Amino acid sequence: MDFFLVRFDDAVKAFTKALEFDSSNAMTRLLLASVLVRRNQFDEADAEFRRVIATNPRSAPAYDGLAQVHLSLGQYGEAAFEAEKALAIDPGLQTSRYNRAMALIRDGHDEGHHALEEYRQRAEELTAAEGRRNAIAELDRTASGFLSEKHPEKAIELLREATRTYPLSAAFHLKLGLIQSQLQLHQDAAQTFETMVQLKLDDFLVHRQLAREYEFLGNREAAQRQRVLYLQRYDAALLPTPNP
Amino acid sequence: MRSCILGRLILPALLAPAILAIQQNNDPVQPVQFVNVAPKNGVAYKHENGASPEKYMPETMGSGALIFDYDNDGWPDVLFINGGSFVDKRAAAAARHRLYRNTGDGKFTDVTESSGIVASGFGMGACAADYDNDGWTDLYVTAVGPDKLYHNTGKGSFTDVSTAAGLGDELWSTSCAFADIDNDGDLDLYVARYVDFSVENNKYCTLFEAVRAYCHPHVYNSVPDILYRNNGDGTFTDITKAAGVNKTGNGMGVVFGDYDDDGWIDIFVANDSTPNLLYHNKGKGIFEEVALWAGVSVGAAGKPLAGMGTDMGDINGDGLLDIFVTNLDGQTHSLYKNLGKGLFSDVTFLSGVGEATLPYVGFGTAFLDYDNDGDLDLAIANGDVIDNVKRLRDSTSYEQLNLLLRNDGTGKFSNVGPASGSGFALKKASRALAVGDLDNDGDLDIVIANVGTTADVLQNDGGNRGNSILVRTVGSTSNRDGIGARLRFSVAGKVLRRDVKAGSSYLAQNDSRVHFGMGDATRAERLEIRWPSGKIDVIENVQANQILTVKEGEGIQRKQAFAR
Repeated sequence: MDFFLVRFDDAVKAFTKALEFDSSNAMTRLLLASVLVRRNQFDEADAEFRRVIATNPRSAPAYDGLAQVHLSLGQYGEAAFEAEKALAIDPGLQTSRYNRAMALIRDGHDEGHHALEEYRQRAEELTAAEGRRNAIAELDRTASGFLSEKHPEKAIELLREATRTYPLSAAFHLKLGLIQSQLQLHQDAAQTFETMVQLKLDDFLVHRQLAREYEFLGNREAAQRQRVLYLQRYDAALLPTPNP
Repeated sequence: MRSCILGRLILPALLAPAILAIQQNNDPVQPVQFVNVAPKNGVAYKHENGASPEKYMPETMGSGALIFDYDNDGWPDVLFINGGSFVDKRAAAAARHRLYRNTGDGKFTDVTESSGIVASGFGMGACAADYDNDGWTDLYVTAVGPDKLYHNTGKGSFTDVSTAAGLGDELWSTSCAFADIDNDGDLDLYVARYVDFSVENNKYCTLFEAVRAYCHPHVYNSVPDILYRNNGDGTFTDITKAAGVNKTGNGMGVVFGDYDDDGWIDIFVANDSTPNLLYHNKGKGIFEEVALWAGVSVGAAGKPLAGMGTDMGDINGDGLLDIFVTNLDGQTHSLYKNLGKGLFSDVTFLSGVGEATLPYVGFGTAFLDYDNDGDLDLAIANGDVIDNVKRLRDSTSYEQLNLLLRNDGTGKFSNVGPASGSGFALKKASRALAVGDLDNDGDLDIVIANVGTTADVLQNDGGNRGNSILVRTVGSTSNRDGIGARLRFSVAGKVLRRDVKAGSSYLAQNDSRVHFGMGDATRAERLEIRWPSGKIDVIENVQANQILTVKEGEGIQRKQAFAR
């Protein structure tokens, strides 16, 4: 909190105090080191990152922090070296990939182009995944907004579109079916839940809902069948997961 | 490494008393003060943003302000771009852009009615330059809806020539800028564009359940910016693809500058939550996008930031153009130092900019030497995007303080806003920021446009305790405004580099006259102007405290003492 209020001094004091209580807390030490970097106290930051590494030699963020310290000081060879160590431990660390590329380019290494391309490709993958997540979350929020504004028909229309765009998103199907059920559109709701079964998005909740919908529709045989499936799946869900 | 770090810490500590003594000698007793003189001096403009429960995104994004001399009387005039309303036709119709004529005594007269400038769409920003080299400054206005190109008639009014010129894009355009990308003597036009918002596809976004809020741009699709080539006959051609500037992004701010000093002007675009773009001009207006390689695409953590406004300037006197970008709170605004060889280093925290800007959502910005000490400081307009942000976080607000960051001459900045008068104590949701010497007294004033409320005209009081000079460039082979000219000013052992620009900041444009602070020096040894044509003019022994008009190949055309 102090960090975002730009009370860096207070943040440093708080982290230092926390470390007095538990000097082995690597996360606190990393946070302290990060604030020190932002305060341009590179010597102290360097020491804190190294303390983390001394107790946890596989701390990728600590090596990444060292890379940032070196990059800030224009020590490009060292920066690339530390970023490589971070990436060897955690290949998903995009910050290190970027720092490494910047360090190599500024140091005049041809390898910098390759490093930058690796960063770019990974960034594009992450952006695409984030875009998909954002779009799904946004559709979900919009549907909720329509519901809270008493426009369930708009929510249904939006969710139908969402299930076409993202057919494997169980959340959209489930939400659509539940709204249809609440509006007593039981035939539509049953169809929605059956689609989930066909797409293998069914868990015990889906079968419970299907049992209810068929009950409303007067189809006792189908309702009974779904109730059995619900209980079977429910029991299965309670079983402990075997270790890999 | 350790000894090196220690050296970096100890050496400044030893030198600190000496540096402090020098600063104290140079600093005026009373810090420069900025006072809002808008109401007193006749600027009654109030922005209409049409805030509605539908939370249409443009309502919180505008709008623009620019400083330009439309009537060639030597006094910079001010234009405010108004927004409108998507739900109230009457409010939309009443939302006029406002042109204020500088009457020369520090006062402004509203000349909108006779100007020929009308509202069209939901107004955003503008840029101004003499695109037809007829000696009068023309105007391009961006909007959500059709953009407009206004030709200056030379008789105090403008004519809409958008259709005839082949312009008038209808997507959401934001900032724009003029420059001569192919050095053919006429000005081309870059228009940044944001996202594919329309009233019909307005998204429903919330702070949390059932509390509606303005959306993040990621809920819309990015739209590519547009680069128009000036055909030299009053028309323009869209050359976006052919010129290689067709990367998409959420374009917000744009600035032209020759960052690698190869004689071909380059383009930097600040994008909101997508990577920034740096288009390197390979020659004759063909570009290559190099932002990632150059180190200005993303923040220090390797992630795109919410770029809004931008400017280029030389922060440390090394003759190279550095880049500044405003971003969201929690991200810090970004300062990229030019290392040469086309590379930049993110010096946001090293420079002090990070600590000063971390809690703010930034928009308009400008490098300016507000205290005439010879180095470029930073003015920044801030204000959150979400008008009900207080419901989300108590530590911030829609209305925020603007910032004035003083450069110590080495590229280290500190916030001097709290000591810089009532003008920097105003809290509004600020957007466009433009800089110019409105009263021709030798120091730089600041115009700020704010969302849904009155604008501010911050008069600089005390900046001119130091000496200075203003240079107006007039091209002959080059474009008539001399846009893109690089000026090198040798004074008191330093060489200051400033460029002539038409469009920067956010939705804004500064006074295109180049300002040099001179401190105590009463003369400069040399002024060198490198024109876009490649010609170089040199003027020696330049006296302080005047406005010089310099024509390409002909030298000084006019000298005018500051009005004090």
